[in-house]
Amino acid sequence: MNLKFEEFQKSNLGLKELDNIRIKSFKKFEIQGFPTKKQEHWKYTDLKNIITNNFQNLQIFNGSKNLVYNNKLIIKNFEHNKIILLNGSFIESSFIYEDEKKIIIKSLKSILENKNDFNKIKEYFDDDQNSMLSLNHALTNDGVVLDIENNYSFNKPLVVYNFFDKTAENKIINNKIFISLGDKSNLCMIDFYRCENNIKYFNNTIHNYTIKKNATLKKYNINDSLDNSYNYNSVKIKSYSNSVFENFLLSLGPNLIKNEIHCNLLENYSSCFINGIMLLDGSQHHELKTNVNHKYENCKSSQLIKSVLLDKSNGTYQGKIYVDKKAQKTNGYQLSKALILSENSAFNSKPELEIYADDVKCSHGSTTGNIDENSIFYLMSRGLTKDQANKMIVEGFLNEVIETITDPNVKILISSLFNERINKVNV
Amino acid sequence: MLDIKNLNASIEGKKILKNFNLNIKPGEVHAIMGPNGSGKSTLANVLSGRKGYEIEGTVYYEGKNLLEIPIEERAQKGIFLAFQYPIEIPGVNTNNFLKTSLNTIRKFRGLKELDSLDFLKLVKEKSKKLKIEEKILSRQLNVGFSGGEKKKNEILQMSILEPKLVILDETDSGLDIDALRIVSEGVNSLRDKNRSFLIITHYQRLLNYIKPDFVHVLVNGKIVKTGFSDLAQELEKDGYEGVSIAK
Amino acid sequence: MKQQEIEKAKEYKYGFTTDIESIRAPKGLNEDVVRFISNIKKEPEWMLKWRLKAFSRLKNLKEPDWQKPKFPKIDYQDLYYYSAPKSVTDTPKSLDEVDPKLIETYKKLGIPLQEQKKLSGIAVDAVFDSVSVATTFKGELTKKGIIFCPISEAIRNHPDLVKKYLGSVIPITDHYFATLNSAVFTDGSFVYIPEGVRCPMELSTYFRINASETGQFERTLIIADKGSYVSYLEGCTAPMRDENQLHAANVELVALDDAEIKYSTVQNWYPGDKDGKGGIYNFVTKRGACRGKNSKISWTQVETGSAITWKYPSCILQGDNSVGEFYSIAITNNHQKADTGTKMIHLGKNTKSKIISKGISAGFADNTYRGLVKITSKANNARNYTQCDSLLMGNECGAHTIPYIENKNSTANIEHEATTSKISDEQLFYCNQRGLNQEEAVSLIVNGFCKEVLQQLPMEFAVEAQKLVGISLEGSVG
Repeated sequence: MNLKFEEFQKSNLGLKELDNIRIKSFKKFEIQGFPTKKQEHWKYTDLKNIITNNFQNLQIFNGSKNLVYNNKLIIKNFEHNKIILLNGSFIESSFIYEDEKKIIIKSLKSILENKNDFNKIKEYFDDDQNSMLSLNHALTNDGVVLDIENNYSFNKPLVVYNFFDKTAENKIINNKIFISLGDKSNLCMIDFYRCENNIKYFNNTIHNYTIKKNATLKKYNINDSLDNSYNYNSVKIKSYSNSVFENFLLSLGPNLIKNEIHCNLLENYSSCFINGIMLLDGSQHHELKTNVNHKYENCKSSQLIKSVLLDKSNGTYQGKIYVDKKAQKTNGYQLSKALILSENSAFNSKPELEIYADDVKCSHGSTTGNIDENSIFYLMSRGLTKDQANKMIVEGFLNEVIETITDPNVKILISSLFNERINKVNV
Repeated sequence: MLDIKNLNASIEGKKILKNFNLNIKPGEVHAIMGPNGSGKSTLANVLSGRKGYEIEGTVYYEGKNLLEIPIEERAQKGIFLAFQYPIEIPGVNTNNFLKTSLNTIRKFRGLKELDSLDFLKLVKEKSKKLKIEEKILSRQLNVGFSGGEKKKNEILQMSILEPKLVILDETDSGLDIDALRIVSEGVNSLRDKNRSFLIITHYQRLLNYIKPDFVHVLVNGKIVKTGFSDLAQELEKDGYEGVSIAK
Repeated sequence: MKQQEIEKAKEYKYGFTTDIESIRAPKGLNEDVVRFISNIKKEPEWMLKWRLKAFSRLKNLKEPDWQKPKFPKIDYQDLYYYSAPKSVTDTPKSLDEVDPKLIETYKKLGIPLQEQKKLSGIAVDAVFDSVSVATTFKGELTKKGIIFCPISEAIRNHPDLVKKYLGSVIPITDHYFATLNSAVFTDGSFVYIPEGVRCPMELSTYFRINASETGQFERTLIIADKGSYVSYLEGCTAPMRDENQLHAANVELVALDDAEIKYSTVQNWYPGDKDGKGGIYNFVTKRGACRGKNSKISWTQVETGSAITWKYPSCILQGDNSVGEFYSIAITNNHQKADTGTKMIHLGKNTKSKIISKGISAGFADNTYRGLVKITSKANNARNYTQCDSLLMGNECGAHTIPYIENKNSTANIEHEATTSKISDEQLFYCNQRGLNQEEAVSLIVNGFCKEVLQQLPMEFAVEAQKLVGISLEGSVG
């Protein structure tokens, strides 16, 4: 692997401070390389191995002149606001359903060019928990910064389109997205991915969300399209008092996804809900890693992840609930259920509790197994074929999580995308 | 036996008992009736020593300042609280628990501790007398017990521990007629000239089975009326509001 | 005794030292020390070679550092690797020859070595620092063909069995502490139960660290031949010393077709004082192989002692239909730290495993359950059930659960549940109202919490263990 950093660096010279961060971060990455299974957090996703096996010549994506995206990829029959990113770069946005005065949107590129603006987000370039973050700090040159004012509730969902075209082929794309919700504001946001011509690329992205008092952020990761992409997505959330963060992950499509969610419940009565489904076949490899940090009293978190593994696919759920000494009256819950339906698939789970406060209610459960023979027998005795019975049970098993989606329109959208996918699957 | 003077109890700044007075002599059975939120359970909790209340006033039990005595010593000195909601303690065998409890109380009274055989004999005898199935004692303490079983278990414990002052906190709530009869018979069989009872209840029906010497009506943390057992029937007819207005 | 010492003695009643003359190997870890140990044990050449191989591999290994409890760097050159009471350097032939001081020591620990004072049907092997001082009931066991002796004796008298099985479950290069043990292990117990024999009594080993600046590296090997059964129990204590002492044992179990081994531990090494000074580092490798079909290995542990406990008694379920069990109570108080759990590796078909873990953390302690359930692609119809419960007492301690669940088989079924809670005020109040004081109430509730595990212990030890549970938590609830 030979990433031509110097070339990239020279063509992206700008603020001195940013240049230094890029150099420093890339050095960190070079020392560590891509993460391997020897690192505890990457135990079940050996990224170095995956990249070596799938990319002969992975190169840094350094922008493209093309600003035209494929219109046909926009979701139809679904009223929504848009942010369009092409190969990680900000192209355009539209908030036709909203009061635009309440919304400030800027491209990250413009912020990186302005000293004052950059100073406000500089701290987010410090995190060096793993080499992928360092690599992102070194190579990010665009993305989005979205601020929503106090007391503003979105009328319609916001879809963030992540499009990729031919120029991204065999490239590693790095960007960052910042979203901040003011007091008592509400946003429902969908992270949506599509690529053209089934190209192979690696998308390395970092999101940072701030959810102020009494605000609610509902976030939906839609990774439904069967494509050749490899994705690492790290999300960090700061939750203030009485705020709600809801995240649903539809993990069906790409070759590789590792989603990481670090949610910090910093003040009284904030809560975090992470639910998701994985339905994998072929040689797909998906991982969800969550870190819910209860740092203050009376916060609540709940996680429900269901997975179905077919063919040679590999799924992993690593969930951790951390409860600080200060975080009395915490309520934390995790449940992972997986069905392994083929001889060559595998599922790993590591539901972890780390608890330093005594007045807490924390529990987790994890089951993996096959479909209960009795259920199949029951359905077949009512005239279904074995395949129908299997499919029905798998559908019901995963639908239970989709049912938890609280936004009715998004639930309909996700249900239809899920149905499309499950009909392509041989259970 | 028990002398309560000007008792005030509040929780998190909220006053619940207000200048409450009550005197119970050995052998007497007192019933305290009152609507929800009148302070009935608070009274039971304060007497048995539950933490979390700010208390003013005096409570003398057998001539000693009860409020200064730790919870377990109150029990050892003969105060028994039959809980409204008996607590479930997983893994702890009911028999074992009861034996430990009985022996600490016997030790305190200067009696010989019972070995397992004598204890089992005692339990057999008592449960037979009370018509309570012995087998609940081999289960985990209150875990998975029905409401009736929990209350019967409290009564069986009472008869084995032989307390001097029994406080029944809404023991009748949630009981069917048969269980109610067993519970009442248990209480009646223990009545004697040295043992006193404080029966806390919302409804009059328990008092059809256990005839109290005195009935007090508790409203808003105060006794608003005291009478004999016929007062209970009056209450049933007119309700609590009738009583407070009559005052 | 000074007041302070009296106070200390109350905390840990096994904290006394026995004043006895001992022979030690020169301080430090080097090839000469390995040769010294082998020589003093009168070991055959093959055993020395085995040790030296381990020692040469040790140079390339590093101490693992992934565990939660961190500890100060151990200076391996500043330890004695062999210490034995002078009087037993030549193994005593019979109990009459055992130094009365040693008999007295074990008596104080509650373990009678004179056979006339039979501890109801339990044969005992007593290990003092680096040597086994006495084994009881040998005669009776020999009649059944059972071998129960110090491992140093087995190396001399049963070389074929030792050669075949030693290191077959824990390879000598497994990890740093296992390799260290392989190089310098001193004594421990050896058990062989012949085909079809049900061992008529509990076998038990008592380990005692007495000497200062000495590490204890015992090695236990238990082989249950086809269709046999054995229940084995180990107990451990050590004097109170301000220094930290290292205990790095290896225990290997092998169960052949239809055999069953039940291994119970009541670990009560000196935990250090209230401020976390002193105490044993208990870094132990315990692993059992269910090598035969229908075999079963069951681990039960009650861990109340040691400054740091770090062990994962594991089962390799090779034989079809084999069963592995792990029942654990780990109590940490004051500044104790425990990182313990198990590994269940399912290789054979229809293999089953069950894990019940109860962790209790009080004071400033940290208690971690770490476990692996691994189902390989060949282990059709494998089953696992895991239940991990943690109890926190106080707000300065921690309780953690880190299970790894890896499944590569579509016919397997794995269930894992974990909870963390505290003793509720209601439960305490209820017990208080029935006349129990705070400490009695806590002991009762905690024993209830641990019941599923305590039930697994042999009768005599269950009673002891229950008391230990109460004592370990004394002073933890205000």
